[in-house]
Amino acid sequence: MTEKLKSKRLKIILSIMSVFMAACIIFLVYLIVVACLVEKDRQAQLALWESQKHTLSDESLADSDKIIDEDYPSHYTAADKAAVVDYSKLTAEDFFPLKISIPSIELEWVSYEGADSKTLEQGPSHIEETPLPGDIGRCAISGHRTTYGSPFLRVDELRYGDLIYLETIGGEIFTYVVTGQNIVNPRDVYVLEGFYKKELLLTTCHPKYSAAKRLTIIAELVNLYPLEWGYAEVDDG
Amino acid sequence: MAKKIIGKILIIVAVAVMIILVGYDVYSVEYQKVEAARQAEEDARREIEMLEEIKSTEAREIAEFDRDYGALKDEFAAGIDELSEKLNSQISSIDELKDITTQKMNASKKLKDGLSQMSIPGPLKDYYELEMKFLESDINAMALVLDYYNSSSYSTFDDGEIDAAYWESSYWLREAEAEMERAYSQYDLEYLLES
Repeated sequence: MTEKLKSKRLKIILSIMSVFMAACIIFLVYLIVVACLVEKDRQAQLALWESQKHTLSDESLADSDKIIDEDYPSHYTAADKAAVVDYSKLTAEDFFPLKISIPSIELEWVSYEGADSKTLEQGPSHIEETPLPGDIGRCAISGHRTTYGSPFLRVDELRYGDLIYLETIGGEIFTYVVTGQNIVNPRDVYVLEGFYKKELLLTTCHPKYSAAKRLTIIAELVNLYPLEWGYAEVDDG
Repeated sequence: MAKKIIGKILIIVAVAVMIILVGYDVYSVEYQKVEAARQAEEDARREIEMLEEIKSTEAREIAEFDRDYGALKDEFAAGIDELSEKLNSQISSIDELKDITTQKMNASKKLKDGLSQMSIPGPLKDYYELEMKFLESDINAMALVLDYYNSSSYSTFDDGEIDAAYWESSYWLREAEAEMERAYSQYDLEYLLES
């Protein structure tokens, strides 16, 4: 009688363990499949963005003229041009979708306009109420930390002096240099307020797997001056 | 009768003497003219020969300078190309950017030092001055860019001085190149500019 009971208990325990292990395996497979799908989606978005960029360059960068509509000396960078661009005439469509790249943490995503939950599922997104790239104030881009491909998973590794690139489909590259990092409460929207500097703010959840706080990275627009032999095409003007 | 004959003879002799004297004078004047012309021709020929000799010496000096400075410049240009390539690939931090800018500045300083130690042919003195101005303004531009990268705020930094330095640098480069072309063409050495 006792033997039978023991055997029955053992069977139940084994069954429970089997079910638990199967569930773990299924969950693991699910995570891997989701990660693969998200990565595939990210690659597809980047490929689409690149193809749109090439199509545009084949059309003599017609649309990019909206952003930069004058002839500037060849050594002028996007930051230089941004200084004289009339942002009141521009809309988010002139900049987004853009590619955000951070070489120091191997980040490369397509970023969209509008940081609603649907858009954020696609990748890092620009908070509509904040300035456009290159403009005075804090251009804020929000991204998921641990879900939907975890675009901002490693942003906490960013250090003072790291560079962040925003490349528009028209080929303009805005380069920002990291100047600070903060952890704030979700309600501390004051961090979106910029003053007289041209800044970029990356924001994501903190700590990982929690939305209790917000991690913010502040970066400032910087010029990458060319080094060509004699800056040969500099305008006399 | 005899007196008459003697008188005639004297007149004839006097006329002959006069003719001889006038003839000699004319001859000597003409001879001097011809001699002067010949001398002038000779002088001109000698001058041409001398100029050609000087010109060929200067042309040789220019060619030698071109070979030596050209080698330095090629090395400089290759270094700049490499740095530009680095800059065009996405670099990851401002420190890397400062490092690349410093390397560019050092490359310009090295070229300037190399040039200042070279013997400059007479016809290239003006070119030398202009090239030195270009290199000095290039070094100055890089120093200003470094100041910018070291500044506390990039978007509020007044970079007008950098723009002016870039403009100045490219201006002196164009002036130096134009002067070089002028000097080389004077000595039929334009082919050196093509290589």
